[in-house]
Amino acid sequence: MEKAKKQMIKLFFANIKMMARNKQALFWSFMFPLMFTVIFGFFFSGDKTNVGKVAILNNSQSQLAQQFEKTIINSKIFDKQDFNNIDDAKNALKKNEITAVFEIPKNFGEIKPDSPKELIVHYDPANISASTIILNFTNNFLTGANFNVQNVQPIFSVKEEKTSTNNFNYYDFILIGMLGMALMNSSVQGIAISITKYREDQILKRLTTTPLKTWKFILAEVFSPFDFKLMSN
Amino acid sequence: MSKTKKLIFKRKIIEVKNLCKQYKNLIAVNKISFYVEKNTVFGILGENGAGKTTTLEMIEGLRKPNSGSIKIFGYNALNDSSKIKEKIGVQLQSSAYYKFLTLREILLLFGSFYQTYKDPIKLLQMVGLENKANTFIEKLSGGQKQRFSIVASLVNNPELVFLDEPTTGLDPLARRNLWKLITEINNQGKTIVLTTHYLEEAETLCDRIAIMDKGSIIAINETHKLIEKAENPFKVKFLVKKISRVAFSKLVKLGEMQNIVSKQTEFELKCQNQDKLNQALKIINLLSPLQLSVSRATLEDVFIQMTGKTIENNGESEKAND
Repeated sequence: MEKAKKQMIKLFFANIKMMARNKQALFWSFMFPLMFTVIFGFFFSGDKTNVGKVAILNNSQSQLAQQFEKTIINSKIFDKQDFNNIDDAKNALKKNEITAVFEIPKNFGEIKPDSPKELIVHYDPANISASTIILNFTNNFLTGANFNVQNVQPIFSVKEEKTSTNNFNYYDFILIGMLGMALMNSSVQGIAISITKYREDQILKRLTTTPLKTWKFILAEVFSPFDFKLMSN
Repeated sequence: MSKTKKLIFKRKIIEVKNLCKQYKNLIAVNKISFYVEKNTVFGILGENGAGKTTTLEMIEGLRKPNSGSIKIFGYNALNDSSKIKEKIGVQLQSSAYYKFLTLREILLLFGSFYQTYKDPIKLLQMVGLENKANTFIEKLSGGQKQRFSIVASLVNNPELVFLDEPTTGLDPLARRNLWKLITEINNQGKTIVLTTHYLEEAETLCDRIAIMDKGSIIAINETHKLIEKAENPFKVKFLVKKISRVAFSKLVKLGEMQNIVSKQTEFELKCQNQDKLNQALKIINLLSPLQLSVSRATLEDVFIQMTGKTIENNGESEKAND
């Protein structure tokens, strides 16, 4: 048993040495996950939930219409892009250059019986996350406006209680995910790849000619990349 | 006393009986039987695809035979492989070693698989690679790699060493250096089983040879006895400016006469006995030869006689075919 342990430890450290000397393995183990995390973190980090550019074609001079436009700009959820007419804006939406078009009809928001009561939102239903944000935003604004016009105070509301006081951003949870993924990948794929390579190079055949037991070889092969990845993470 | 000693010396280390290996419709090894005596060099000779490597790998425990028995050191190779593996050393055909370990580390690692092992530096000294102890294997030349591969098979100080085409792909000088090494290993009291398709190598190194063809052993004997089996054991080669029809027809009657390939006036005459050789030499001397040499038959002549073909030196394709 002592001998078996010794053999496995020798093989384990030999594997660690080989991985540490292999520049490609080092790159994929250390640099690649780091680069991956930094690049994605750069794009998605921060508290902003910007859904992209939107067009606002405001044909109304009413206070409500002006307020709506101002709220959109100040929300920082959207970036406003100017268009001369509704057709240009719709074309841009079709080409995915913008996420949505808010069309505010003439006289919308004026307290007159014949003034239009509906604000038109053009969006791409395929873009589920953006369209959900846009419709929720618009509905919330109009609900607030309705309460205001009717001089009603909302009775029921939501009290938010978070399980953690920390504000997690994309960077925080993607980093952990990346580390986990790298660990799993190396442990599952890494062994398969290295054993295939050993077979191709006839190293496996050469090992078969020695008294080394298969289970010792497999265990050393599993634990050495696992520990190596653990170190890299 | 000396007789007893000789008997111990000739102890059978490997005994193979009716060994068969079949892959679907291909019979790779067909009911072969042979034995290998202690402290000898036993050669398995044959062209590519003859079944040499398959035979060797079955003995090494790398492939399971379909039928037949293999005994090594008295152990059954199929049931007692771990006991056998402790006492054998194997050099595979074109085997690679770990890329990112130094020569010393590879020997230490492989040594750790055995109960006892030799000092890596002493092993490397045997093949003049001690100054490469901390070098990766990929930095070695072809000859150095092959020398290392052989020395790596000695890491456990084995009694029996298997060498599968040890000199394939090497230049003539490197090949001769390896022959010296193999002889040194044999002189240390180790038994060697090697496969080769180089007839000269088999003739130089082996005490006994089995000639394989299409999975069967077509001849097996001590090397000199195999050569004695040549139908025409005396050879004379000569170069003349021109040869008369009369002289040519006289020579043809004395043995097997043939042109040296691509040369019009250079000939080789193989004679059955000394008398015929002497007669032939008299005729050739009258022709005032520009070159003349007399020699005995080689293993190549026996091989051609037995198989009806020559061996082409394209050992690289052996693995795929064998």
